[in-house]
Amino acid sequence: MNRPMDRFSQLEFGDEKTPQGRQSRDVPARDAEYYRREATKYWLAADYEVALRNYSRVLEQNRTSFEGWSGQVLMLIELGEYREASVWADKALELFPEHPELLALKALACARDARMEQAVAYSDNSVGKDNLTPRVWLTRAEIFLHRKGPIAEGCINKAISCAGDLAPIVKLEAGRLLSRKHNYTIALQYLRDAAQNLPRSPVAWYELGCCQARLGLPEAVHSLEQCLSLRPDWSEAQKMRRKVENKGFFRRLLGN
Amino acid sequence: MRCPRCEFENIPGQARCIRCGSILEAGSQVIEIYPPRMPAWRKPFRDAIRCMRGWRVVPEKPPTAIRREFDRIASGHLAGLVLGIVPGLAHLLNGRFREVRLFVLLWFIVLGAGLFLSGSGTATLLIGLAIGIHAWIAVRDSLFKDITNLVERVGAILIVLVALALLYWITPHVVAPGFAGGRISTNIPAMDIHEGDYLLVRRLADVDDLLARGTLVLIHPETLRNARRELNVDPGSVTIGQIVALPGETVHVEDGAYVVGGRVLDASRFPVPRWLQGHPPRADIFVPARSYFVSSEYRVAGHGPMTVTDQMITIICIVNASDIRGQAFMQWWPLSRRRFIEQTHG
Repeated sequence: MNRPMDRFSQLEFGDEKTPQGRQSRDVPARDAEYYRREATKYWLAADYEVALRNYSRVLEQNRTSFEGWSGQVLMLIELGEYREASVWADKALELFPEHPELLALKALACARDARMEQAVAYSDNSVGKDNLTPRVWLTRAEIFLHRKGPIAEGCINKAISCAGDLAPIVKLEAGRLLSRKHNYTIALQYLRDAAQNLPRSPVAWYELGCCQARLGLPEAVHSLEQCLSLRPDWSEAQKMRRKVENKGFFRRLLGN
Repeated sequence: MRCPRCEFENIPGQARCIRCGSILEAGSQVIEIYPPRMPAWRKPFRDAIRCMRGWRVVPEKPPTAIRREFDRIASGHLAGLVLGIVPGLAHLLNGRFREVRLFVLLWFIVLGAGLFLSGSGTATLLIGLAIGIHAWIAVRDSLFKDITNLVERVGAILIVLVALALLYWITPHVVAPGFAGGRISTNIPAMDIHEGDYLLVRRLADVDDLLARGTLVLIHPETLRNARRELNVDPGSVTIGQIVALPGETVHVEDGAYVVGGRVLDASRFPVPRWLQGHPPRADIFVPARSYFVSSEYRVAGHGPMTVTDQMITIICIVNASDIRGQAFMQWWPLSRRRFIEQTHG
């Protein structure tokens, strides 16, 4: 399909002719794949709003892109909009019926919204499907961790084993999950791996820094500095670094 | 036509994939691709509910039996109208609050403004408007689902409107039975109270408690009705009066001022009403036990000329303690003079 501006591309303005193709060599083609990469980049930088916008752009290019739909749902969950995520997962399930990843995302939205009965039901449903994705096992692990079940780590291992190239991201997710559930020692291993394999991701360094800080490790400062060097404007990381360095407001106020 | 999900080659024209059921041709139908978003103000409320749900304070969802029963009841028009007593409740329970949220907000603002300005003509207008919005919300949920005829809709709105007007009239008496309001018909310069001001009145805790001189009181309408029967006093014109003499004291009027027990009262604090200035009592009027001398601009002799005798003054102005409905505690209208009334002593 021609783009709206294509019909003007052959017009000549004076003698200044830009060599054809120069622009296309400098600027990458803004197709669905480009926006998907951008979305992943912003997701790993914890800029979920921008990531969500990029996933919407993926869908503008290709409305049947599964990554676009699942990415939108995941970003809504990351933004804490669980009901909206749930509604949107339903919408995506109309396009991709019974897709295990969408069912898992719906389960995740329910679990984070403290609707555990529904979360378990959706998770059970997703595990019963074929072609399981790491998200299915990560969600399962989160539900088990919430119930303080012992098999959560098995689910995480399964997620990593079926992740393939996405293993660093899955490890990062697993680390975040364990860290959220206060299992810092196990989380630290996954987060170290994630930070090593995703050195350009502020989230990986931030989560590693937080986990190290919780365990009282001095490396936390270095990890948070790495994070801030990648994304200097991240207020949460700045706050965490101040906390780690004992330079919080009350510390300064008390003169310690 | 290849399925985007399972890559199965389907027959052209097929809407969904035969193998996996995915939608094949997205372009043939409008698919919304922008997700719904949560307004920022809602976040703390959701967080609070989530916490409560996490601590099992509120259930994840109502038990199925209760929900089914509610759905069955709520599907009827009458139930919809009954739930409509609280604006937006029926919509909220049916998960459709979004449809009427602006109306509910508008109702809230209009009603709030009406209550704030109560006692003025604008307030009547605003409360009327609030009733109209309320009726619209109630009818929108229950009757408009089935009624499409314009005349029937107008009829339904009118019926609901009348019912709600009745409800709005009853509600203050049920919710706050101890409070009332009324207009004063006397000027009291010392208290910066003028004729026509709207005062709020609180019911007396104990009718046997002795009220202070100068207290502004609302008299039970029945007392005035009795007076009307005998002396042609217009009960509609009188609401709030001022206690001038206490039980056991004597009153008479001299040079435009009350003289109580031989002491002349300040006319700016205890003004003598016009009708009494024209016909002052010839002898001292004695105030019996459990009664007060309540001064007000009673419209005596509203129907034709008549002579005001001491006996008539006694009947009108001596009010039994049990006939006093309440004590004025706040000057509500006009807005510029809104304040609590200082309780006088002696």
